[in-house]
Amino acid sequence: MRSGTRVVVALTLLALVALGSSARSTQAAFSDAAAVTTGALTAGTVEPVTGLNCAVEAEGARFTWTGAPNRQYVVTVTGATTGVVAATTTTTATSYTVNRALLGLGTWRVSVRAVLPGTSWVAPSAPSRNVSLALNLISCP
Amino acid sequence: MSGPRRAVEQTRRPRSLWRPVLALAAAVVLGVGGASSYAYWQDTAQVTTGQITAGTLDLQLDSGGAVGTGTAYTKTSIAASNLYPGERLAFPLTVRNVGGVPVRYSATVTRAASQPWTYDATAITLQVYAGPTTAAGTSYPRTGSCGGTALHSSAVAVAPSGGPQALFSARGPLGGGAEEPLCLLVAMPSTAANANQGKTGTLQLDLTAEQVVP
Repeated sequence: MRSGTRVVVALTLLALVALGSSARSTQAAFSDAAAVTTGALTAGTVEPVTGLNCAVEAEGARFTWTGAPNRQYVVTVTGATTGVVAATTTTTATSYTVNRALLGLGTWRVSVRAVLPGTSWVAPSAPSRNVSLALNLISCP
Repeated sequence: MSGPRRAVEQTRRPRSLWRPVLALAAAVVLGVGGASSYAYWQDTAQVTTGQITAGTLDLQLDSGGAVGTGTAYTKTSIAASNLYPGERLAFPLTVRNVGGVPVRYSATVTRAASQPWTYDATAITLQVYAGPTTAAGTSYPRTGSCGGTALHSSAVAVAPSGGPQALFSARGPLGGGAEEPLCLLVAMPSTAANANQGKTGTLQLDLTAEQVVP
C-alpha cells in the first residue's frame, strides 16, 4: 500500500472511532431531575445573662445571674475609672464572689459574658454591676 | 501484403464499427422497453403494528414527592431551630426509581431561593449517606448520625454564593421500581464563626437521574 493511501486509511479509521465514541456519549437516554427543598435551618444564639445581682457577704461581694443551660461565663473585674482588669474568671456556675482581698479602694465594675463552651460564640453583651470598697466597707451601689 | 490492398483495409475499418454499436443500442432499447412492461400483476401488502408506547423514567422522593419529571418537592421536616456549633442532625430521604429502566443518579446542593441564606461559608455542612438515619436527641448538643456508606468523602460546606455544589455522581444503578434510603447529615461545625448566631437558610438538593443505557 502506498504511503498516501495508508494515511487516508488511518484518518478514516480515526474518524470512525471518534464518531463512534461521540455517538455513544450522546445516546438518547431518559432522564429526570428531582429537587428537594428543606425547611429552615436556623442557628441558635448565645443570650446575655439576665438578673445580674450584687450582694455583700462576709468575704466580699457575691454576684449572681441567670443564664441558659450549657453555657460558660466569663467574669471580668475592671477598675471603673482606671479600666485596669483585676481578674478574669471562666466558670460554669451562675455566681461569683469577688473577694475582699482582691479589691483595692475605689469602684470596680464586674461584668458577666455568656459563652458557648468549645466554640467562638459569645453573647453580644455582658451585663455589669459595680462594687465599691471604701474604708474596708464593701457596697453594691 | 501489397501496398494497394492495405490501403483498402484501412478505409474499411471505420465502417465495420457501426454494426456492433447499432446492435448494442437496439438491445438497450428493447431491454428498457421490456423492463417497463415486465409485470402485469402486482400486489401491496401492509402490516399495522400494535401501539408502541415509550417507557417512563421518574425519580421520586419519599412517598409521592417530586412525582413526574423535573418536579420539586419541599420536605419541611428537614429543618432545625437553635442550631449550635458542634451539632449535627440526620434526616432520611428515600430515592425511588418508579420508572421501568435502571438509572444512575447524581446530586448537588445549593441554597434554596425560597429564603435568604444568611450564613457564612463556615456554618452549614451537608454529607449524604446511603443508609439508615439515627435521629439526634433533643437537647444540646444534638448529635444525629447516619449509617451505611458516605456517598462523598467529606462534608460539603454550603457556600453563601455561587452555583450548585456537587455532592456525588453516578450513584447506582438503581433498578426500575427500586428505592434507596439516603441519610442527610446537616451539621454546624464547631468552628462556625460567631457571626452566624441567629442566621438562617434553606437547602435545595437537586437529584438528576439518567437511564443506564445498555
